[in-house]
Amino acid sequence: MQELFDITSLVLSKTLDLISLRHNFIASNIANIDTPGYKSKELKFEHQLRSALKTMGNESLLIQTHTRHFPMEGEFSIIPEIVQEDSSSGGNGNSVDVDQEMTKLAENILLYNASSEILSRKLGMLRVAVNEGRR
Amino acid sequence: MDLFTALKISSSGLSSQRLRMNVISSNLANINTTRTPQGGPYRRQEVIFAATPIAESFGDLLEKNLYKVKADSIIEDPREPKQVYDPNHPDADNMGYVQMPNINLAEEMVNMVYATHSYEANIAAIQAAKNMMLKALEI
Repeated sequence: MQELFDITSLVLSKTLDLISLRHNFIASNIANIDTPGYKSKELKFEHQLRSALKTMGNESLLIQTHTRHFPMEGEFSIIPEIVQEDSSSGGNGNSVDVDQEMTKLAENILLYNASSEILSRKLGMLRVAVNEGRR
Repeated sequence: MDLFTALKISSSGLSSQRLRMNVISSNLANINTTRTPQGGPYRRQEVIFAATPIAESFGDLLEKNLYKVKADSIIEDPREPKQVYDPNHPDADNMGYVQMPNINLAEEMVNMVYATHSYEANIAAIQAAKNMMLKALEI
């Protein structure tokens, strides 16, 4: 039996947080398209998320010693990576590529919408259970 | 860190590009202006942008790397005014040359396209943030 708020919900809500954070970096790059000397920055977290999930699978979280105890899901921490693009194509030292930023923006939105949708479908399953199978 | 910060960053981009548009409009309107309050022909103006960190204190490592933009200063183009030979002009000097503003129409039009493009990119970022926040409300 799956717990009420299991690993999937944890991962999804963490992903939503990280995607919002990534959007802030994209917004910063877009606002500074014309700022001389500004270097474009990107937030990467997929790799860290994948390895955190792998280790979570192997490690045990708090073990239930008694059937009446609640199983505790630990907060797993991801440290995202900030990558700076130093090479500049413009004459003023600015390294922001507006087309790349717009593409990253579109990808980010899609990922956010997908994760958000999966999370609400999952909670929707809960609603079905609460309503005893009726809608 | 939330998406409201992103809105502030993108709106700073909008204001900066709008100021740039105003400066470009001023340059275009005064392309033939030979008289100014400070004397001499109109000097072409340009906006210099600077990135400012969003956080006052550099506590959070992540916040340290986020910048909004502001128009640091409006400078005058140091290029010399054009000398145009027109002895009948009321502002001609004793050699018959009039000092005209050093504004190139093509250059200003290209800058205007650039400013519009940047403005639209910032609008797209705002729409994205807004839609993400609305989508989250539907969970």
